[in-house]
Amino acid sequence: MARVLVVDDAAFMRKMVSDALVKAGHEVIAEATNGQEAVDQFQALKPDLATLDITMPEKDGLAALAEIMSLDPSARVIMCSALGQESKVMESIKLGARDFVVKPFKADRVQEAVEKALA
Amino acid sequence: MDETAEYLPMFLAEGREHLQELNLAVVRIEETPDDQATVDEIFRIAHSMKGMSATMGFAGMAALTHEMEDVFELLRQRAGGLERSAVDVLLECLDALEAATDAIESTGSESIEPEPLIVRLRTLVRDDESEHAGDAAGAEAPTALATVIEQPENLSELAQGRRVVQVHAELIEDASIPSVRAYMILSTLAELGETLACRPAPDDVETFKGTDIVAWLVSDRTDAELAEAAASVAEVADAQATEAVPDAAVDAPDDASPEAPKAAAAAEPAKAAAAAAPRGNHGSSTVRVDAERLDQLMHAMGELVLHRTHVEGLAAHADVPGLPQALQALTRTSHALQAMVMQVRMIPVEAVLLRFPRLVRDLSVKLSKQVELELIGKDTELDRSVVDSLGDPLVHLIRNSLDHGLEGPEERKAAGKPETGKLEISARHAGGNVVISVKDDGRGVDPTRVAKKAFERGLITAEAVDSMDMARATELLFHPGFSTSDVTSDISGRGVGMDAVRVAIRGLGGEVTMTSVLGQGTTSEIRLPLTLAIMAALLVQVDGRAFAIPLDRIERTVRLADQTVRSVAGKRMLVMSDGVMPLVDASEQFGGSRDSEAAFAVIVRGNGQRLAFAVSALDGQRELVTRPLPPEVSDGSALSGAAVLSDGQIALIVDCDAVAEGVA
Repeated sequence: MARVLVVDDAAFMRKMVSDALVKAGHEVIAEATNGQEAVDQFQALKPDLATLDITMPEKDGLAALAEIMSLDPSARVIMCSALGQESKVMESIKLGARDFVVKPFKADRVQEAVEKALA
Repeated sequence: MDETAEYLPMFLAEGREHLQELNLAVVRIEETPDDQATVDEIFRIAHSMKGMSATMGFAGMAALTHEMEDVFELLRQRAGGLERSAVDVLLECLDALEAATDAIESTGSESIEPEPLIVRLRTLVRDDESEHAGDAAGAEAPTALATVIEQPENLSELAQGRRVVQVHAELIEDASIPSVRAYMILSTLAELGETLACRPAPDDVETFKGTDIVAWLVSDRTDAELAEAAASVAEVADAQATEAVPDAAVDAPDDASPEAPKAAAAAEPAKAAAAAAPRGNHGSSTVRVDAERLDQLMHAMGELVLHRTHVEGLAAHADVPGLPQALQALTRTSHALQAMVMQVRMIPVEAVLLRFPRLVRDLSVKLSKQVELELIGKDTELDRSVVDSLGDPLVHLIRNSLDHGLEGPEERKAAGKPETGKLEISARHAGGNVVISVKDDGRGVDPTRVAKKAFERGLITAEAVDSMDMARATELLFHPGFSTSDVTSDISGRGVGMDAVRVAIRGLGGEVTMTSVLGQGTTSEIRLPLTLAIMAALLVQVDGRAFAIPLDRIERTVRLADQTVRSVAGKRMLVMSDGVMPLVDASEQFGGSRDSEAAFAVIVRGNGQRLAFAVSALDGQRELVTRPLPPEVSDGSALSGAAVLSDGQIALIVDCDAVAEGVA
């Protein structure tokens, strides 16, 4: 069981991801709605894993990822991308994200990504 | 809750773009079968269509595109292109996909039956294989090809005597982003050894779309460990590690620890990263916006213009220091904003023109004619609502050209023309208008024949038959119910033709005219305003009512008292130094009695001729936000719309073409 931080500006997507994680036996310890919140929460809570949306207001997922990776180079982060964000996903993997999932999510893909990132 | 619903608009928009690109590409490949770039393009688009429809859960579309890929793959493997029958099947598939897209938009379900088409596609591939049995190796089934991995030629050289392991990872079908998966696999492997070569090559990782990723490494890890590492990346269906080059350690001199290949290998991932970085920043420079939001923006902009004019009206009577300057600033900014909003709404006319290569191809096959289509000015921009409504009228014009205008090869040869006819569709800006013309080098309009038909149909008198000229003949073609075709054809039909085109174009606030030279060809010209929603107009008073005349139709205004008005054959004519034109009393035209107070005449162009419009007063120039009239008001009247004025009064917008038609 892992302690997970779920970051997405859309409540619907946070719920979907959280549901999939809880179903797979993980604990969602916090949710964040933008990149800055994500960095703050990550620093405060030190989750085992974070799922990070790419397109968010204030600070986007890539900027948040870069900050999280500099705070903790071993951080486990999974990016949540929409269709058509290939180059951003590539960039995030280069920045150190462990994996990515593409919306619309399939619950089993989210679970697979989490398992592989934790392994 | 349907989790894919929010992606539906994007899927539809992108799917349509893909289908149009495919249509164009398939038509192009029929003309130039050896165009490898087009073949690759077709393959790529079909592949992404497949991925998109699968993601959205549209299994029928996914199944069909998957099967189409096989045919495209075959096309990729050999020169010589496809038979016409194969092209026909592919085009039918595109039609089915288009119909499915439409069905999804209107009903939410794809309602497609891919099986019959799939069977035909399979037959194509099989037939082709047996025909080309001679080069069986090349025509091998694509799946078989994929699993046979060719080693880089210089592998042994790169190995320098060391044992090389080939790691082959296969992604699940429809993996989310193959390029990123490939990058993840290759960089995972690069951490465990020295990568001598890989497929995709570092430079191609960013654009990789396949499922097979192969790396050749020198590593001290076991084969199983390497395979496991590759399989640790998500969405890898299977990973295998096998020996590619055996160890030659016994003979290898120790000092052969190869500096050069090591440096090269180390440079490779870095090169991939460098290539990726600059590209990554470009993706965000365009935004896809829902068309409805653009309409709302335009509407709000219209309201703003309305309020501004209202404030201007009030300010004219107020004495507040600084108010005129403040208003000027407001006006400037609102003009700038308006220009930007218009600009945002503009899309290249290409959106509609690109439908036509396919249409012309299908029609020319059906009619056994040879036609060369040329599209000019595809980048010309028009308001998107206009572009959307332009398709049907243009299809009519093109069908007319192919059906009635352009001759078959024999007739052309006999007339001393090249056997292949030319059809040119061009778009260009002309002042505040966009002019779109459809021009063919066909047989042209025959005034004598038109006159005969018109007389038979009771449209003109016997005297008019004798005095028929080209201008009148082309005008007659726009008459409702007129058709010169002796046989009803299913291409352009009978009686629904040019009049329908004219009604549609006038509905867009434009005008359509035709010119023709017998034996040499016909040109139809559509003239459209750049944008519909905001219009510059002259406000006039007619018997106490407000009317607006589009500014781009007005030649000038004159005081009636200074002019000579004569009665010719019971019609009032305005005699000017540069010509005589009908004088139409606006009040009479719009249901009132003759306006004895009419003091001014507005000289306008309508339907290709000049006419004078008698009004009681001129109220000046305004920018109006136009609204369509309900049919019960607009039908049969020469009005094209209405606008709310700053004082809340309604001004009716005069349709100059319709007025001119009434006096003709």
